[in-house]
Amino acid sequence: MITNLENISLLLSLAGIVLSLLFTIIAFIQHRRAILAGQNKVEKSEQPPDNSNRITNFIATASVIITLVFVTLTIISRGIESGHAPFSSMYEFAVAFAWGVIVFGIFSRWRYKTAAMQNIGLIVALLLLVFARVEFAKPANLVPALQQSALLSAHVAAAVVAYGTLTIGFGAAILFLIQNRRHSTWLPDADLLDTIAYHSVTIGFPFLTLLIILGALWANIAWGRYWSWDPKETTSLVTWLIYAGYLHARVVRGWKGNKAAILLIAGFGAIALTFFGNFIFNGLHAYLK
Amino acid sequence: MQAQKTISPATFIFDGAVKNTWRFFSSIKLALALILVISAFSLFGTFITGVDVFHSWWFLTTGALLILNIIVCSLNRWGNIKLSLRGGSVKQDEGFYSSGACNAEIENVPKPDYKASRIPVKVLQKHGYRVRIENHDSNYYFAADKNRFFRLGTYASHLSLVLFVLAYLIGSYFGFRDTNFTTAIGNTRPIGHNTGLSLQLVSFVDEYYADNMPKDYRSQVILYKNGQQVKQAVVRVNHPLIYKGISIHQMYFGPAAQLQITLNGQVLYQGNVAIDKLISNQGLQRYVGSIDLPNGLNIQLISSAINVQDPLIPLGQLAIYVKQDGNQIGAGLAPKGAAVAINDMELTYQADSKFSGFQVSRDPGNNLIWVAATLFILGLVLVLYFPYRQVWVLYQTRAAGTNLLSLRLSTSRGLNGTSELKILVDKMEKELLPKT
Repeated sequence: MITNLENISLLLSLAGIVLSLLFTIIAFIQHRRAILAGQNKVEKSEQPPDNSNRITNFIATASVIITLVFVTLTIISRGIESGHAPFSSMYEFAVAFAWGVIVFGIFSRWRYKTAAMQNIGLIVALLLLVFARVEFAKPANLVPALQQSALLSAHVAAAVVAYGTLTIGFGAAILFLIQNRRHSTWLPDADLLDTIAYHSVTIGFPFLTLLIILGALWANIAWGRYWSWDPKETTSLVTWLIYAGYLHARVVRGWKGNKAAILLIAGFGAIALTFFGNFIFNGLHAYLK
Repeated sequence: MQAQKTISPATFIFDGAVKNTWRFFSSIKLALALILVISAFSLFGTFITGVDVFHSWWFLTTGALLILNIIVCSLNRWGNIKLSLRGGSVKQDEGFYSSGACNAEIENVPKPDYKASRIPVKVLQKHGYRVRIENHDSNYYFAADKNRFFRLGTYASHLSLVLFVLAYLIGSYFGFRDTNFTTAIGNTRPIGHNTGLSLQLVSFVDEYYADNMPKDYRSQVILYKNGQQVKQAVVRVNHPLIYKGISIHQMYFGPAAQLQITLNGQVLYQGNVAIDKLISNQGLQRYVGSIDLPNGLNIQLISSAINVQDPLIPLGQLAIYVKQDGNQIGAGLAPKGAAVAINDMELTYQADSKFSGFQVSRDPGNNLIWVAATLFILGLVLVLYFPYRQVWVLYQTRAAGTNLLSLRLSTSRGLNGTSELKILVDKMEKELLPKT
């Protein structure tokens, strides 16, 4: 029963994202048409109010909210079944990561009055949920090292916030690079994108630090060593170094624009390497394969 | 007139070198370059197996340079931060107020000076600013700042990085770490390292789920200090035994053999022997256990090869080698339960047992790690979420009703202060200008 609910919720989440992205594309086409139509008119004020665009945007927004509800339901039903937070398999963590990306996408939309980062976040969330679907694993019994529910739940919660916000920062960096060349009216102003990217790092970086510290705390309790240069530890350190470099470059050296955006994209690359590292390297996190 | 001080060429060159070195290490560009190099080395160490990158001299040197860089940068910033804490000059040139990215003006203030000059103080103080005022000629100068003490957060974060390294060094030089401390059930083994402690393994249990995944492994142990029992505990993964700075972690487990050795009818040894060391010989991997007995005797037990059929040691039997003062004096194959005679000794492999593998460690730097971690997060929160802000206000008295209030706001950390300035200006306008 619970497994069915989990599976159905996951599929509906995927459908929700696809629907939202589809209607975002339709809204974009409508927006382009409206601009072209506006250029052909002598008096812009003569244009009728664009109701179809409003409806399309509404459907795109409603789909995101519904998606969030279903991803939350997927996590809750898995939690009820497994009896713990989503930390015991790549499937569980991919769903949690997608949840973080969607939540912070919605947050960025509310905070900055633009859905652009949310849409980039939805693409990342879609990839994560497809990955989760492919890597679906039934709830497994916890091996002794993972029997540390409180600490691991906090570790994964910090990862969800850190990766969720830094994905939004990545989205802002990508859009910045596009906007800096194209100056599109569809996208937010380049300065705003740069500020959003910086803000997301100011939230994500402390949580990334917390994520590493909680992992070290757990390693010290489980294995008597807070740092072992395990591949996942090392790639998370590289991620941390890149974002620390970004903060210093921006704040002290005044790096803005392209250089800062490229650093953020490199940072997101390091997150992806850390996340998928289990498939490349062996190590203390190898049980997640 | 002050006399010119003569300096020798050597002092001149030395001073120049010191200054250049200092300048080199106080560069944020160097920090960024070192971060890049460390990241590249770390990725190299992750992808390339067989090279111990993380303990190589080049990796450690790069890390040491970064720490030096952090220390010099931190010292270099002190003058600036000290000035912020004390507060810089209140009076600025007139052009200063209209320069910078974030400034505003309130024109035609009709209120009398003694009233109008109080408004900026009131508004700024209400917003948590420290306000300092100077009065020159007919102008009022205000310098206000907020979150100045939080600038010290940068020291908390950067100092913590130094503390991490210090903790690592303290742990390496004043601590110890035995990662392969094995004890067979019933045996007591000294921990060593001048601790006076010894560990007895009373029992060991390993449990599995229905799908054969490990569920739990736990060791019932007793800790002795100079022969006196000081602690009893069950050591499990995630549940180490900690006694006065000594940590005992459950790491692994394996087979042991219950062995009896008699010499001329007298029992020489009765107990379990952990078969815990892996050796490779002619492509075969076998586990070996060993015990030392009086008179230079050493007994080695070798189990059958793992994963393949052993041509020499049948499965379920042990090969026994007896050495005296390093020279082999006899050998034999021991099936379970049967006695084997080697010279004057009779050795019986009585039953199978288990050993438990622990990590025994003392890391005096451990607490410092957690202090550093807390300090780092604290510093980060202070610096990122409580940015230092400065507001300068000039109130110029002109002809009646045309007084001018100029404001300039600056923020640290590249933040945009426009919204904060707007709030301040709106509030001041509300108080200064007549209601429309």
